[in-house]
Amino acid sequence: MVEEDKDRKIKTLLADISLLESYIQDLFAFTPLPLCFTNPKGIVLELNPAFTKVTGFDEHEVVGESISTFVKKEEGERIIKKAVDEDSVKEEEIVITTKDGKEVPVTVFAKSRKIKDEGVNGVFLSFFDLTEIKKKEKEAKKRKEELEEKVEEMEKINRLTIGREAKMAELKEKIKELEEKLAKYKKEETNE
Amino acid sequence: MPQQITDEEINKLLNAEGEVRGVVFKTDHRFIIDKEGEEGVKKVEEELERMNASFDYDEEADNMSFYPVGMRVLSIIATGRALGLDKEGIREMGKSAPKFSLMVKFFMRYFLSGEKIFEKAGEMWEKHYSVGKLEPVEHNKEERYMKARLYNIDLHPIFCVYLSGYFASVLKMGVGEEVNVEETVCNHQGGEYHEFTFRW
Repeated sequence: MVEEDKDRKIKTLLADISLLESYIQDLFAFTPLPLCFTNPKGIVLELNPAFTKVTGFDEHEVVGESISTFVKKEEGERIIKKAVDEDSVKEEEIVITTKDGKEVPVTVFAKSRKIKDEGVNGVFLSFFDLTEIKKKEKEAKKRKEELEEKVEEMEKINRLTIGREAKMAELKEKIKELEEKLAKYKKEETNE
Repeated sequence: MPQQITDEEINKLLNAEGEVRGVVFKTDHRFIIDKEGEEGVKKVEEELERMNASFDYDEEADNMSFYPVGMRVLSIIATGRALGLDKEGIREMGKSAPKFSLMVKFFMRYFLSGEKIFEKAGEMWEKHYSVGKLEPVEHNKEERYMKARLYNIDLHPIFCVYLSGYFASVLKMGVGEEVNVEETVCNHQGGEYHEFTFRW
């Protein structure tokens, strides 16, 4: 009876663990943000499907390898060290190199994972792909430059127009002056 | 062919004492999918059926449950045959397993260094297998090598090839460098135990 009860409890616990496991896996797979987990030396121990989508690296190509597989060595070491020493890294811009050699600008967030009485045993990293934002920024910059050029052109035209009007006014003034002089001259001639 | 097996050996495996956690079939499944997709899984399941050891990877493999230990070896043999793997291919299969293993994730907190993994190797073994005992025996930091022995398990030589790849991959996660593994003593070659030497 005691054995049966023990077996039943073990079965329930195993079923609970399986459910929890599939929940964690689904959650990890669902997030569109590339994530990975490394040990404190920067060796990748886990990653999610979004990571594969962005970098092109599959699990079997990256798990067990150094973070420098996809991040510049010094940059990777710095991020991991900072996360281990200072607990987290917030919004730092770095570049990821994809499997086909393309450079992807990303914002990295990192957080150390601590276990009670054991200290830091790993680092969670998430990467926010900045490609679209950078593209938009570039487009906006180009637009701004185009607009600035247009404004400058308009100002030039404006300056020219104003200059012409001033000249016309000056000429009109001159004509008026001459007309007055002529009238005066004619009057004097008649009187004589 | 490293995965040749007689009917007698199949029977011996099917009746072998001991159990293995289902996580090993999950990692086999993932390896097969990565290699040849669902078609590959079908081929491996057909091989298993021919060995009177039917198994549905998708339906039956559960990470936490226990299965007869002989199925562990039959799954390796069937995979090797169906996918045409040589010894190196089987070692690769072993190497890829820790990358997808849920059980290995439970031990991630020990993946800080080679020493730590070495220290916990026995515990990791026990989480997977109810038979056999893995014991670290020597660690030479200066010369960068370790030795571990596996006692009381004598299933099939292909299992040793698989394990050498598996151990190399786990150790690499701790030392951060490629690890070479050699089985320096083997039960199947007159030894009293299996001894694996790791160098990096």
